[in-house]
Amino acid sequence: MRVLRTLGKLLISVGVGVLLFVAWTLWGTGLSTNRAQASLESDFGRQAPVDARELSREGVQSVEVDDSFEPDPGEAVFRIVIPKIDVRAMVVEGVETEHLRKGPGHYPDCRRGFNRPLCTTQEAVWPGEEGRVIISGHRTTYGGPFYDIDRLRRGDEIQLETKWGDFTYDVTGSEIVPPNAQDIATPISDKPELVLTTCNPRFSAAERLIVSAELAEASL
Amino acid sequence: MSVIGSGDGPHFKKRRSWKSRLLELLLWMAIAIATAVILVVLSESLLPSNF
Repeated sequence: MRVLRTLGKLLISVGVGVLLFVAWTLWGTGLSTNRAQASLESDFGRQAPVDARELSREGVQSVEVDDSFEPDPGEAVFRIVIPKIDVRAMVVEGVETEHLRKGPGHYPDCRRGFNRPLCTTQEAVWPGEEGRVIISGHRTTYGGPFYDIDRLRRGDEIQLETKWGDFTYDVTGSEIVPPNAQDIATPISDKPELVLTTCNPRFSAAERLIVSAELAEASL
Repeated sequence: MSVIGSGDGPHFKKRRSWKSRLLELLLWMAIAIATAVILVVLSESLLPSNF
């Protein structure tokens, strides 16, 4: 009887431990992300302006960011603002686990410091440039910056504030793909586009939710 | 001490002191926290939460 009672208490304690772990995963991880975001905001404020020039090809307006702009892994690169779902976050360079703990990550090219498959062998595309800017973010953990992006509909605005200008993209659609779908990670497009990727459904990594947008407005 | 039965004469059960109960509660709380810490460490190193 005494053994059973002790075993019961042990199981209750372990159960409470599991609940604490779940609480940490869902909410505790957001605390470190909040601290990292505050630090990134401060770093971004101190960064020097970046040169960019306007381009117009076949009637499509875009910009070309100076080639010398090659931020280090985990560095703040620009700010993403999505008014409809109250998102305002600093985007970091890189989409590896340690990068996404700080906030949404910009999919980088495979220069020094970035490793396949979480980088592209193509040239990375920056906000305003022709091609596809790809940003990945957590859905439910580490602050869940993309928790509500399934609510975005055609025409909703996504703003990217950079050191070379501000760019507004309009949502064109969304889709759900398998987690190993590689074609969305291709930055090649003949228009300035933006792709947001996150896990789907919430609390699972079984699928990927992709939100696509096109450049609607730019101010350098 | 209190009398809890009278079948074969009185049975006596020692009432545990509040210190003993508190210590036991602290032990189970420590086990719960240790379980959570182990799960966090394992999930960070083996299977980082990616959702």
